[in-house]
Amino acid sequence: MIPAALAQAAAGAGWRPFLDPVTLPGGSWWLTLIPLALLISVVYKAVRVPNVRRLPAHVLVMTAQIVVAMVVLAAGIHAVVLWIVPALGG
Amino acid sequence: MPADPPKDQLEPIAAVLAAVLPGLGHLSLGQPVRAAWVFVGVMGLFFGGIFIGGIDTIDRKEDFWWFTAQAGVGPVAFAVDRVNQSWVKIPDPDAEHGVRSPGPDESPRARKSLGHANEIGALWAAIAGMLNVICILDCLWHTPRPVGAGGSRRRRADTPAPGAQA
Repeated sequence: MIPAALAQAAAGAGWRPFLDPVTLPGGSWWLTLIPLALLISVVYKAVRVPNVRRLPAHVLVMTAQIVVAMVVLAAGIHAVVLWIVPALGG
Repeated sequence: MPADPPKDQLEPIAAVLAAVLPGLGHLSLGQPVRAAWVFVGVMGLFFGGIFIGGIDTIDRKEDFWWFTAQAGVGPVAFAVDRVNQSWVKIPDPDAEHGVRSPGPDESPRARKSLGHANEIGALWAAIAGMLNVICILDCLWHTPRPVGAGGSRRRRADTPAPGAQA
């Protein structure tokens, strides 16, 4: 989804990487959470793990934890806003 | 009798090097693998943010509080801001600082970053800066790690050299 948007932006609007902002298609910007979680995990685990040979495994686990936690949080907020608050007469 | 756990050591030079370039502090402590991961992670976040939001996401004057966090990356953040202020922005006598980010079709050099792209780009670069501050502190209060585990090649001061007589 995002690569297609990048290609379209580059072809149509003369998009220049690192100068112009990326045109993120509506509803897909949240996918940037995955590389964000990955890179945060890389730096955090790089200073935390005693043995860097096991770093990739630690990074993958932490990335999955962040993504799953964010999805659960989003689902919880979704339930509160769309179901619980209306049920309470809000 | 179990060995004492390694004690933290104050390493101000390594902390300064880590502030100059992400990963350089750990490299000076003899941890090249750890330094490479720090460099890739921090620079990936910082330039990933610029990739998403454009160079306009690094703006010391218009986005001061974002830049406060982004500055943790070090001189690289100030260099990118300098390019943005002096090369990308356009003169505007009505603007607070005499220059402002160009709107769409106003400048051939770059377009103003707005909406989700701007927010996400600024967030990525800000997180890069804050994570590098953690790396600087890790270098400043350094705990020697075992050799062979990607840890420090520096020998602890209270550890005898290999082959030394007890």
